[in-house]
Amino acid sequence: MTLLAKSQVGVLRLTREYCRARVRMRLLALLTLAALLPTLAACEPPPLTDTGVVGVFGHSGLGPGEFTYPRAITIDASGRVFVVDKSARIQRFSPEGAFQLEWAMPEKQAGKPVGLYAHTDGRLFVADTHYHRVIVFDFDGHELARFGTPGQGDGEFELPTDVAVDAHGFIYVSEYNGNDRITQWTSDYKFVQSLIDGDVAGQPMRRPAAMDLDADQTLWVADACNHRILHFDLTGKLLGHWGTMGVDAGQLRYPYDLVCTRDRKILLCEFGNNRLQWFDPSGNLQRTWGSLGRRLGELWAPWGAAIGPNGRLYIVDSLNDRVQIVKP
Amino acid sequence: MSARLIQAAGVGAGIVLFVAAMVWPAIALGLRAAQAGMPAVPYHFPPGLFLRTTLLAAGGALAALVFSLPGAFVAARVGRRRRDGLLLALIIAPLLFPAMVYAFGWDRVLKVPGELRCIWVWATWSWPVPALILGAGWRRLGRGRYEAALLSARPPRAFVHGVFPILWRHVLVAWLVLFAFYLGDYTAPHGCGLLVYATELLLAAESAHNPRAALVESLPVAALILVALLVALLVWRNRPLVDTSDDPGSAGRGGAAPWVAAALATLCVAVPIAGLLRTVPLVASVRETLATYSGEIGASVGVAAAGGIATMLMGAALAALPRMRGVALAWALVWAALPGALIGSAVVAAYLPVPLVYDHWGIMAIGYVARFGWIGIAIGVLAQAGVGRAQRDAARADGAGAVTVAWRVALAGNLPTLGVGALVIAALCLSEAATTALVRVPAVYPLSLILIESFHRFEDTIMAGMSVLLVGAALPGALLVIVAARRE
Repeated sequence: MTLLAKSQVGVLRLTREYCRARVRMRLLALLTLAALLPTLAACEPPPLTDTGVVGVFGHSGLGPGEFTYPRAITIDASGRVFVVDKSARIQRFSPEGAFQLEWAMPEKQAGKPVGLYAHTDGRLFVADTHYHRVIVFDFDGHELARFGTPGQGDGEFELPTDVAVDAHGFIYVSEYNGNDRITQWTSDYKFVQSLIDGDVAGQPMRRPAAMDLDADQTLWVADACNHRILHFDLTGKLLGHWGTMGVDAGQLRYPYDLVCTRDRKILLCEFGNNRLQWFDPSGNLQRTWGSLGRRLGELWAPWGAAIGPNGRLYIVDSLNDRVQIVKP
Repeated sequence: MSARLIQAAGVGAGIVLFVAAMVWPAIALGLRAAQAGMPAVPYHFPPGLFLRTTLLAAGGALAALVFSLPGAFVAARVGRRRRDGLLLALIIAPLLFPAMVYAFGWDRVLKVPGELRCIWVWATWSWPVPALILGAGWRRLGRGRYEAALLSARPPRAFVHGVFPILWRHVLVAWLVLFAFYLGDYTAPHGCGLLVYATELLLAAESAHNPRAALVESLPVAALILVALLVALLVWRNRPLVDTSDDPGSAGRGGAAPWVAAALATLCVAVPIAGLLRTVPLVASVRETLATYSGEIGASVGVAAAGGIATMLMGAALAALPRMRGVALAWALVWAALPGALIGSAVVAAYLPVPLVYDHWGIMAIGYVARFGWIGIAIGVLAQAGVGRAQRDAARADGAGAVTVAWRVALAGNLPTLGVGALVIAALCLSEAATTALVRVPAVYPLSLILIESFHRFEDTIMAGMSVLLVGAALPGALLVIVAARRE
């Protein structure tokens, strides 16, 4: 009995030790997990393709979250994505691509917008191209203002394509159709001047399709139909230009969008070559991404690109009716 | 043995093409429309747009009829003098040039509202069609009365009083055919900056990706086109066939009509082309276009050529099957009455689940066969009709069956005609936009869509260069038509 009792006590002690050890192990594991949690949360899901695509949203259609030939994209400071398509709808998505809301442009019979710009102060500028005006919305789709009337004079627009806003609040609007220029407006939509007009480096601009300001507050312009990139200061003085028409790496064919990246590169979205190209400010090619096709990682007539606060690259893959999210 | 194999393979391929391009897409469209859910945006019939489209088409058809009268006179005299055949071919040839080129060209020289310009573009481009229809009637009827009227009146008055009362059915048929064609036309109104029902239909077909939406939205215009064609058919069947002319054998005197027709044909092509090239140097524009789109031009021409050859092969093969010929032609004509966007939707519905076809240029070629198959079958049937009875009987006496006679005698004897047909269809494929917009694939950027894209970008240089290239692509077909007419 005593022996039995002793052995039972021994077993009990062993069991107790074992249990304590297990509890300690579990606690340790939990503590480790808790310590690693923020790191794990920030971890990426593995890319969907070996080209770095980490997400995709949208498919053909007219319903919520669907696209019909999306043509412009912009991202606000909190990472929400705005896309306008050929149905003249502006749709808002979460940074992961979840549909949030949509609204329609007031008129669309004459044509649909091709330019969007989300300002940090909560204004969404829409280049309402075929109505020769810019409409300003808040991020929930309520109209705040509109400016510009049809024409080629001061305070008038002829098919505006894009909007940019500098650090002082001045608004820049690009136009085309024989009135290929960039005009400057005050923050409260008063015309200031026609900043860039006429010949630029020997020839007039032909469809300045996109603009962006870099960290030094200089203006970069994608002169799409001349297949070149122009660089200006904010007095309109030309600082540089580069780009030749072609399909080889480093050449350009219809650059429809342009983004100044945080690492001082110029990212170009080439409609004609179905790819993205990164250049340094002097025009030296850094890298290319994308090729023609329908699969993930491939592009078909991309119109626009934007970089979110999460560092992700969002590409408007127009003829595939989708937005691809890429880890650059 | 090998000849029999070739014959069997040719006929088999033609049947397969017919089913693949014109039968299966119709079935697939119906099936998928039945399966598809309700469209995200419910369809609301736009009465204003439909009325505007109808009025535009009616006006265009009327204007084309007026333009066609001198050409009709030339067509009526074909067979009497050799130069008239040549003149007729010259008149027909510009039909091969894309309507969009005319639209962009006239836009540069004719500063009038878009509606009037569209009517003008239609009339100046397609007047040879009513000229042929009226000419065919005029050749048999009313010539004597017209010539008698000419003794006391000028040609327009003589036509109105002498010919029109007899040929009113032909006039009505010509008007209805043009009206039906313009109702479904996308390119000319688009080139004139107009929104018509076909524009909305294409946008809906491209954006909804819902066969039911495409089908429902096509119904009003397709129904009107079919009614117009049905009435045209009924009127045509009831046309008088007995020659009422007092002097049918008279060569007739044409006055200035042939010269007016020739001048009209020349001006209708020359003015818009000159308009396009007014501000852009020809060589520079072609060079820039070739430099910018060299790859696309090659691919697009290749697929259009494949479409032209396949369409002609299908037409020739079906025409060689006496029992199938009539049914195929009737089906193809009904199919041809459908708007291009609906045909494109049907082809996509049929091949979306087949990546081997859907992801490659083959679907574009099938789309072209679907769109222009009626022309291929019509040319094939005409080629068969051109074979003399004696020739047929001789072949039958040698032991040939009906299909063998049709294949080896009729088609072999009409190879040049079939070749011209393939070229003509290829030229039409290159300038087709509505079906092409739906069946396009990444690897092929069609020239017609590049042209539209450059129109939207206001790239005059590329527009002019691409237009010249498209006209150049149509030239071999046009020249062959003229050469064939001259030989005849």
